[in-house]
Amino acid sequence: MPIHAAVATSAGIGVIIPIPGVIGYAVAGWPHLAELPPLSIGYVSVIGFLCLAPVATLVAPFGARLAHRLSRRHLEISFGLFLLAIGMRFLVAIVHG
Amino acid sequence: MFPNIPAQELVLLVGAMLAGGVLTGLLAGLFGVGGGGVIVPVLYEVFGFLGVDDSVRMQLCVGTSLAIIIPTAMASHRTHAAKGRY
Repeated sequence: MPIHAAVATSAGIGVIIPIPGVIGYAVAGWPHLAELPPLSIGYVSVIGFLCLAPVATLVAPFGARLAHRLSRRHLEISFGLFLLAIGMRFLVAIVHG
Repeated sequence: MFPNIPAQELVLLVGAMLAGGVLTGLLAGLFGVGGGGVIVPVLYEVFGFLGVDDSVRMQLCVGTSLAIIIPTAMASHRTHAAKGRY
């Protein structure tokens, strides 16, 4: 399959795959509502969903514009640092958990 | 699901979520990655800041991230489909 068709199909499949996932997580979290923040359906934070999706979509072009202002090298280093930071963050959480 | 939420708590919740949304959008646009790779870490910090119990924090991040991916993937697919690619 040519690459563009593959990417487009992947995006289409990406719409369907999370749906049973969301349902599963909503159901699984139902008994734990006491520990969850308000406005959550099980393990799905409705307020998180309502705030993040539109805001992230609106802001993404600014991130893209920023990427174009950086040199290739700077962008590579930034991305590497970002991944490292996340990896370290979770490693620390695991060790201390 | 809709208990009596004190206004202050709601404002803090919404504020933290909006800030998280801005950070997610910037990171996704900047690095060209979206989805769980960016949403889950951002949510992890936001829920940590909001004091969500550790026993449910990660599951909440993943569950919410899955929900967010649906509209974003829809938008992405629509863009591709509009360009006539399948």
